[in-house]
Amino acid sequence: MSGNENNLIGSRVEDARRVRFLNALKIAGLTVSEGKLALYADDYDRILAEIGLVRKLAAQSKTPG
Amino acid sequence: MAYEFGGEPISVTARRLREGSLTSVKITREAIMKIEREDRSIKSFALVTKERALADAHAADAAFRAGHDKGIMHGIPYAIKDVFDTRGIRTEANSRAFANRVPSTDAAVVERLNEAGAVLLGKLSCYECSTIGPDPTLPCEPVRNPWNTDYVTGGSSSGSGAAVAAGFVAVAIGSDTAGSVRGPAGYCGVFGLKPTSGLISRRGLMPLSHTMDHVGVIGATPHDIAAMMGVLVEHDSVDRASRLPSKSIFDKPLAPWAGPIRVGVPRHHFTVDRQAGAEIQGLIDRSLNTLADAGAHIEEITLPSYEAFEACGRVIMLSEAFSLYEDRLRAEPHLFGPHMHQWITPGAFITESDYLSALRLRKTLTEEMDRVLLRHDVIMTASILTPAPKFSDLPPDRIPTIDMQGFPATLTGHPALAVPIGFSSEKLPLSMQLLGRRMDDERLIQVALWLQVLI
Repeated sequence: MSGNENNLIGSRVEDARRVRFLNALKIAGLTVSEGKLALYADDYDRILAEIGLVRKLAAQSKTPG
Repeated sequence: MAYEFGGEPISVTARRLREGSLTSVKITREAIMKIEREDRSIKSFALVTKERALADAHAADAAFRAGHDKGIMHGIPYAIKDVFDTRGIRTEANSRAFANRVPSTDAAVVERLNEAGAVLLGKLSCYECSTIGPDPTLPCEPVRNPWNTDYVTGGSSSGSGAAVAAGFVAVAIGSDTAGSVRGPAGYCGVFGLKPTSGLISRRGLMPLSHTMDHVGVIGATPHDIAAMMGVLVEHDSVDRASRLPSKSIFDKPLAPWAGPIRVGVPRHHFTVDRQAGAEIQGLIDRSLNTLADAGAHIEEITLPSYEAFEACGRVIMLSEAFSLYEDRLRAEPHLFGPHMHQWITPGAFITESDYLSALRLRKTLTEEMDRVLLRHDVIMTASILTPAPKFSDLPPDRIPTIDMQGFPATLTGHPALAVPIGFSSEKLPLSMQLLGRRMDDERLIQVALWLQVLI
């Protein structure tokens, strides 16, 4: 695969991530300036990963109540 | 341990006040002059309440002359993070969203200190609304580390850590939701206690996370923290988390720990799950070896991963914080600094179901901690993972990453004490953390005193 093809795939992944984050922002009724989107998208990915870990561990929990 | 900064311990000042060799007015005036002289470069105070302080000090001296003694904090200056309500005095949380906010009542801790005759020296700077920083765009400039003003103090109780390290006060009050007392205490080389959940009322504390917020105390010595705790511990029916221990605590002077003690060390938290710097790891080992030589039983333990505590803590904290600020963030986003806005926004993406899952996981993590503390009297672990970062190394356009292990104790409600353990090669303070059983806060102070004697 050429460097150009790699870059194209990279930018598509970035686009998908951006669209997913913009959708989440829209649902939440929030706006973020264009220049800060990448920063906020990083935080979005982080909280999604943390929520995933919480769900997994809570499902394994044997604590009643 | 020797401190370049800091005045004499509260117990010594209290004795001199009663002997008549010192007056509260004199120490208050000297403290104000020191702040006027030195805080220009440190910026720990958001507001110095000079007139109020001198009035408090005159009242204390008059009471002593009349033979009235309200206890160890009587006539002693203290300062408080600017997120605690002070009647008639601006309380702005370093946020434009709260500019010119003047509460009509005192926070519970201020009421207690008023009753104890303590001298309110002023309001201390902090990260915006106890969130994240340092953010140079806020009303108060970032607080600078008294050991070297090129370096940060950590936060969010930045001013509380710096004011004690600079020797402006022997003791200060902060708040701790994810390490906000222990972080600045660690970076500034002083002691910081996040007490057992419910031990100190949060009434009048501007909230961030209603199930994780704690009032905390930063002191130059463990004794200074104990003196302050003796005033602050009280049941308050307004704070529904408030509870008292079955026996009275902090009601007498504490001695260094003597007797057998079992210390658990979750080394994986600061060597595998996260990496503490080599200097911190070395100093923690030195402290452990010293305790072992003095007869402590040291055992390596396994806790749930640090990631589990952090993920659970962040889901709960950000969800609660967003719920609190949601309306204002939508209506007036320009009133919040860029760091707070970015920090709090992920709270919008957490569903009710995620929040409830995190509460369920929190119970499991708390039970795990309780289980370990059945077999061990204290847990010794890292607090800050590196020395304080340099201002010039912080990214200009994003939230700085401050590495500290604050979540377990605020999530589970166990008491935790940041303890200075030495200095880095750049002569910046380093710290570790002791955690204990609920309502066993005194023991943490006693172990810290023991370590002071031994090292």
